[in-house]
Amino acid sequence: MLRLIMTGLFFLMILLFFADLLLGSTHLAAGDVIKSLFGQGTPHGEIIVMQFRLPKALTAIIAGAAMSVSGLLMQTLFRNPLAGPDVLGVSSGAGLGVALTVLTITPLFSFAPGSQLQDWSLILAAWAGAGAVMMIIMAVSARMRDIMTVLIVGLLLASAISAVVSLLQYFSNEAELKTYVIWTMGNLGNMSYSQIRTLALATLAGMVLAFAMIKPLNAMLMGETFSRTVGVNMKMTRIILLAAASILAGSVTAFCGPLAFIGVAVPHIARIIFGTTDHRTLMPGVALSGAVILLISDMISTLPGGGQIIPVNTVTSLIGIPVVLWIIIGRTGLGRKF
Amino acid sequence: MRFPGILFAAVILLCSCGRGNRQADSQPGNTDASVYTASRFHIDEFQQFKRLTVIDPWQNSSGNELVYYLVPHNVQLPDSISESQVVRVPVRRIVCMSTTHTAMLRALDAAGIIVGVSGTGLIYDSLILESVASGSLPDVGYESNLDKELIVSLKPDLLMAYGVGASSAEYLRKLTEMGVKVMYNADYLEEHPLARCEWIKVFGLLTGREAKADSLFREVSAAYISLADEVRDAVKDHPDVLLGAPWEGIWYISPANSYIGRLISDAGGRYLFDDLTEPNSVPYAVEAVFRRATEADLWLNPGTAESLNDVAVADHRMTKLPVFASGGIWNNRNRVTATGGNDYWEGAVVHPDLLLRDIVSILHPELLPGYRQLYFRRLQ
Amino acid sequence: MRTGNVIAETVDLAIGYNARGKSTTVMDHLSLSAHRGELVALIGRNGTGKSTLLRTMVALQPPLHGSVRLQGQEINTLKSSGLPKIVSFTSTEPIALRNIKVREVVALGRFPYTNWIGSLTAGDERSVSDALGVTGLLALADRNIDNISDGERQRTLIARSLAQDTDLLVMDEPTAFLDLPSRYSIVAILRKLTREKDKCVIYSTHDLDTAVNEADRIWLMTETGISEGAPEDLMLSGMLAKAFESPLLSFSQAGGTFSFVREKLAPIALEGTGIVRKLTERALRRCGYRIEQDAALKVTVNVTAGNTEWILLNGLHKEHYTSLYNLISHLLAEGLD
Repeated sequence: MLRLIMTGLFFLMILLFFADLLLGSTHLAAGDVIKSLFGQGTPHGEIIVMQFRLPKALTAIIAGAAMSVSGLLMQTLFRNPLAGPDVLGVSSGAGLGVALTVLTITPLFSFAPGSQLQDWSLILAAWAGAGAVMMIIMAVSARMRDIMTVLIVGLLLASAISAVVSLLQYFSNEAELKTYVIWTMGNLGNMSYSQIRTLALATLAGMVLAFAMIKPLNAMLMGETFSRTVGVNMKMTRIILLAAASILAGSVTAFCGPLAFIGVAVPHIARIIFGTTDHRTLMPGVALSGAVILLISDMISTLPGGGQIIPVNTVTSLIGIPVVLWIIIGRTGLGRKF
Repeated sequence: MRFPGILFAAVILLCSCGRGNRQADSQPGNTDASVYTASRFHIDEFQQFKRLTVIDPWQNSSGNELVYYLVPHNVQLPDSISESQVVRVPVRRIVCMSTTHTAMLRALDAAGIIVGVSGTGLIYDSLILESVASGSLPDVGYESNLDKELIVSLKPDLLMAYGVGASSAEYLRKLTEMGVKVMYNADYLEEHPLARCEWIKVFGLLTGREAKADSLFREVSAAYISLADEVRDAVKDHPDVLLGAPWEGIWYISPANSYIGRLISDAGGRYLFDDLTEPNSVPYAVEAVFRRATEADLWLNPGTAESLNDVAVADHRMTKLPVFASGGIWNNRNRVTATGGNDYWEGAVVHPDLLLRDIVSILHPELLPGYRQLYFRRLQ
Repeated sequence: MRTGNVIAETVDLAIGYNARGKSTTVMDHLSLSAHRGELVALIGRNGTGKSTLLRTMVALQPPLHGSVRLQGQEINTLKSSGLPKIVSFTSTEPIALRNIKVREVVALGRFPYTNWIGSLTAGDERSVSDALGVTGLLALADRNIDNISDGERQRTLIARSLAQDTDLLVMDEPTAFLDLPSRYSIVAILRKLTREKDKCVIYSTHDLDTAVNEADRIWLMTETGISEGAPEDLMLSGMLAKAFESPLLSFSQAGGTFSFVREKLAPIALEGTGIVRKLTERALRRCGYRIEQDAALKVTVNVTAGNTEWILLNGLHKEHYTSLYNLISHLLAEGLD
């Protein structure tokens, strides 16, 4: 049964991928779109499909999967159904890492745009920033059992980081500022194929670590005491989970900016779809669900028509906030829902 | 008394600036004089003083009128007018919240009355910058870090402000409570460069240099209109012009009747999105803009880009545009300071004729051969 | 019970914790032992350190001094993969989950044996089914964990420890918060494990009744240390009484139970035999009477075919009651001395 749902979800993703290519914000004949994929379309169609729609759709799949898995890891690690990279300030941390790098080590960024060195140093800075915030949250979470407290700390951290970034901008000169603004205020579009490749590799690294942690994550569902007594090395496990979550969230944030609510909401949607908390199912399930939802969000953003769009973050918020509210309200009922 | 005449003109202005005229107004070289005149203020003259009415000085406002009585120092007030509505002229100490205000005062040789400015880093004019550097002209901040105590200590006769929304109204109301006289300036909401320039008459009244203000405006108007007429007669093709740049994956397309939109149409160009009827910017997908942008002959004001490299870094797909390959990208950053001052937003306000000249030379170089642009620079 | 090999022992163990560089000793010089096939109950008043001891024995906490040996090996020399195959631990941490089945929870007990992703082999499945069978959960195996009673949930955790296939099971208060029948059924399962599977189970509990009646060995923790022995040993030596007695509670060696201390006992004579006599005695004692053959007040119990009758004799006054309750109510109402 689960296998059926998983397969169905996979094919849904493929379907939505092509739908996203066909839709777009301008009118392009379906035939032209398909021909363009094979290099046989009109010159205009080819630019639109290959330079605008295809990178966006690919990025949606990668970013959706990465952010959602990152959220899943955090939710199990912190035993907190409201955990997620944006909500706990991890995305902000990634942004801060990038800001510090760009605004203080500018010579690196006067390279030609899209150079591999630039992309990777950006990603590494994002990982470092995300990791630093994760460590703070982990320390807080160890001391405070109440999930709401951890959530509040995460939001405070995000605000504090935002303030620091503003401060950095205040003290920077125009050239540095311009580079920073351009680099971090990303979105799903505007990714070159070399950047997509970099993002894909980074996401792959994070996913490998995440999938390797499936068994310990399942043990952790039963509590820390149980995990330790069945032989889970908690210290090592926490470090790897921290690394995986930071790599996944950091990479996406570095290239696409913070994607609101995807990390928090998708794991819950996946838990409903698959009806299980077993990470053997959830890990791939969450990744697929994330890709599907972000593809859907991207298509919704073109809904206004006539070329006008709703920002993707707005759409993901509209999807994610009701889910978060439902979690919060559900918790006040008898028994906890996770 | 020119009261009935001005009233008549005001009525005409208010009527002609309705929505319905927007389409007609955006045609190049429209010589309907009402378009070229300011719609957000009018002056009524009385025997001993003048009455200035500012209309709708913030966005999305309608039906709001602010009345200021400009009364010379030695004249006694009639009983019907309260002190709170009065500004004694000529103003001797003024705090300016915008560089357009300082530019107008500078054009009237009245920069000496400026005692405080908001955002000294954004000033271009060298004379005013000297005062800033010497410490005699402080920065009063803006919005949430508006230094109200500093403003009060400067003892200004007037603070010239511009309204953006509810929050700034809050700060300005606080200042009024602290005893500072605040005047709202709506120049940035005027749609036509000449209309914006006409606000210099307000400064003329405030400084007692009405004659100079009037003559300056007359000259600038004449030069502008004659150039616009010349263009309209001489030009057969209208190059398509792209404006702006993407921001966070969204391209905010400004309406056709914006400041720059009017300049383009007066300069014999066609704004790519002149079919947009919304009053404010519209968020477009980059893909949608790209489609039309392939038809652009020229691209003006691409955000903060100062080189073609900057444009490429911001969005590498723009390099595929024909206008990129042909090098037809210009930005309004020819006269800038290291701290962010840009004369395009400052001095150009009182020289819309020069602005127009710049753009005409970009769109139709054959009309002004050998002309070197003042405010615009081609991106390399 | 076979006094076979020692499966767990502590050697001069000192337990406690370190906080900010300062160490606090909860208890020291502990030398305890537990054997295969033995049910060991760790009892003691709250706050004496029962949890600390159990957690130290399974390496969840480091000892402050001395060592713990399981199956002859010191636990800190065992690799992290080795210890879980020797001892399993059940704590009182609640499982705050919804979408997980009983069977899946029990299957997690196979953690030390499964591959990187946690897949179960046929052998693993068998262990899981065995564990479910012993704990009587086969019928509930596919139910969600939040859809069963507290007692069944506790049994699930025990089944999980069982699936771990260890010779030693350590449990921290496995009967906490359960109702009486559940408590008894849990202890019955533990009893079965030691008898039928030759495992050693060490568990802490507040439930003195079952501990004293079912355990093979008691570890009695007081503020000064731990006494170990058979329950009856501790009763005979008076240790049990001393550990728990208070002005309100007294321990009856014969009955092996605690009861309220009663004052001002008035004398009453009782005539009757068998269980009815015993129960009448109980009721009278509860009302503040002590049995004395020559008392002026006398109760006679008559059991005829199917009917029981109580006759109260007070001097020349004679009254009949058909239930103990009525007899007692009258005695109390009269305030008879």
